[in-house]
Amino acid sequence: MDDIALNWELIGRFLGAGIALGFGGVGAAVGMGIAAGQANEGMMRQPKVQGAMLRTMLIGQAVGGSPSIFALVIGLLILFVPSSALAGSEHLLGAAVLGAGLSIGLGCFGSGLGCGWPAGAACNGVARNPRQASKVTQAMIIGQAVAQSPSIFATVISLILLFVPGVVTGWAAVGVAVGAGLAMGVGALGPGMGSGITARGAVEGVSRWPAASGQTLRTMLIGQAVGQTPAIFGMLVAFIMLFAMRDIEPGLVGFAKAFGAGVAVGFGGVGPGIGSGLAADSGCSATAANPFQGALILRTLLIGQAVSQSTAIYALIIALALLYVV
Amino acid sequence: MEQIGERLILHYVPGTSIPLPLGGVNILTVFSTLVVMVLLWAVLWLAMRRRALVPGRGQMMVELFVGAFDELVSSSLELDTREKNRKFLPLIASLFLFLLLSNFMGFVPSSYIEEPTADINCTLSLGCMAMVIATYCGARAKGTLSYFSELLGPLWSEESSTGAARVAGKLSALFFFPLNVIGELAKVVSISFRLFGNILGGGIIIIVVSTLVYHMVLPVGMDLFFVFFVGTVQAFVFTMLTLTYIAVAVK
Repeated sequence: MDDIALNWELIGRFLGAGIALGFGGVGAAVGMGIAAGQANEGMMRQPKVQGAMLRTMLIGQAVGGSPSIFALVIGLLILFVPSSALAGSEHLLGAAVLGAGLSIGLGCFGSGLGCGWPAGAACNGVARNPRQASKVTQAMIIGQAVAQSPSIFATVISLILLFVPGVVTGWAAVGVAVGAGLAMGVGALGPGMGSGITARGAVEGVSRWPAASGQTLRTMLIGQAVGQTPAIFGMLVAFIMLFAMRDIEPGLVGFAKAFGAGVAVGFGGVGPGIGSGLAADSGCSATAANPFQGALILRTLLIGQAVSQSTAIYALIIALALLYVV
Repeated sequence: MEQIGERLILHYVPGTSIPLPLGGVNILTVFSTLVVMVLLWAVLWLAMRRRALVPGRGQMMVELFVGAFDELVSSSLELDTREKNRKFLPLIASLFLFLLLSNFMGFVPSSYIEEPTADINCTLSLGCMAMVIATYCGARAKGTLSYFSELLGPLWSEESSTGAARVAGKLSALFFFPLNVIGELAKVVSISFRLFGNILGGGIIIIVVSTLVYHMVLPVGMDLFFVFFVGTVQAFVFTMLTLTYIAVAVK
């Protein structure tokens, strides 16, 4: 029996670390590639400002690379932290580690990809408007920092999965661990990309109409923040499953419930995340073009995002019904 | 590494085995909130101690801040008179200052002080406060009945339709009402969990990475980014969202 338990733990660790770094690296790598590609395009158009453009590209890639660094840190922890320091016991440990890998890997995929778009737009913007290079770079860094929120949530959930003992036992605990990982990880995919799309629109707007940068950045921050609501629902369901599900059925029924709730809220958040990111993207361009109507655009944007997120709310209702009602 | 678990669910006074009083009320949060309040009060009092027509350095800073927020509030709310906009200025400005200083508390190298905003109870109560204020202002501005009938969906107050279409419009409230109520509650959840997750996550990432590099060099940069930069951005986001919720409710 001991032998089997040990094997489950190793399987979980290997799978978890692979998923963490595999998925977590892809997003950031693609994002950095987008930035470099746009920088090349800019160099072709404006070879004289290559110094400023190179600086913007490197800063953008460095900030945009931090989701993959989160994934690397968690991946190393998953592989090398001794079993005694981890929460849970026997085969539950394998599930917890696998859940942590799912959460961080998928969560960092979205944010990493999302951070690439504003970096690319910033390189292009510096080429278009070299005198405003510092304003454009500033806008890029702020946009990227907020676009990283989903990956920070994912890091929190995976560290909780690794280090905080669970409240349920048996098969239900396996479901809770993997379900929480899916809820957070897949749930952060869409919002990460969506926030990146929003930041891209804002950076482009700042480079075209630098005088309106204050209004544009305000619209961007609100648009990104509201667009991240699906990731927050994922985090909420993960928290509920990890800390508040003492009386879930211990057997396979509990497993199915927790797993289903995680899948519902996770995948349910992908579409709304990208959709509200697109809405906020247009909102940023509109604000940059007509800053005098900034407040009106912001209110319209907020209502539109709230409606486009109703599908994420349906997913949340289904997840909560699975956990509490059925 | 065991600090992580300690940060998430505190059951004991740090460094001891004395359980927390009052059924696990996090006294660290309460204490840190008090520290933030006293600090804020002291700084503002020092800055405004000698008010003069030609402002000194401290007064200048405070006046710049208040002026910027006055501009922000009036350009977001767009009510008809300046006085109506100004009514919200104290709330918005003090909310921002409180959140800013709370987020910066993570920089204090003491295990007895932590960010109050890394406790879900703090952010959730601030989120509830924002929603209650927005609802109250909306009900004041539009009339209680017409404000709450917005929750019944767009077809409820459709006057032009007659007969079966009118009945169907009224029945559609059965579908829209629960969704709208849940949507309003989801706003509270999202506004508070966003701040909580960002601040808590930043703190945890600093702890983990610092442990991995044996507390050399890297933690300084991480503190600059996660405490000061992310802290400022998230304090601003929370404040702006509160303001925008009020603006949506009032307009």
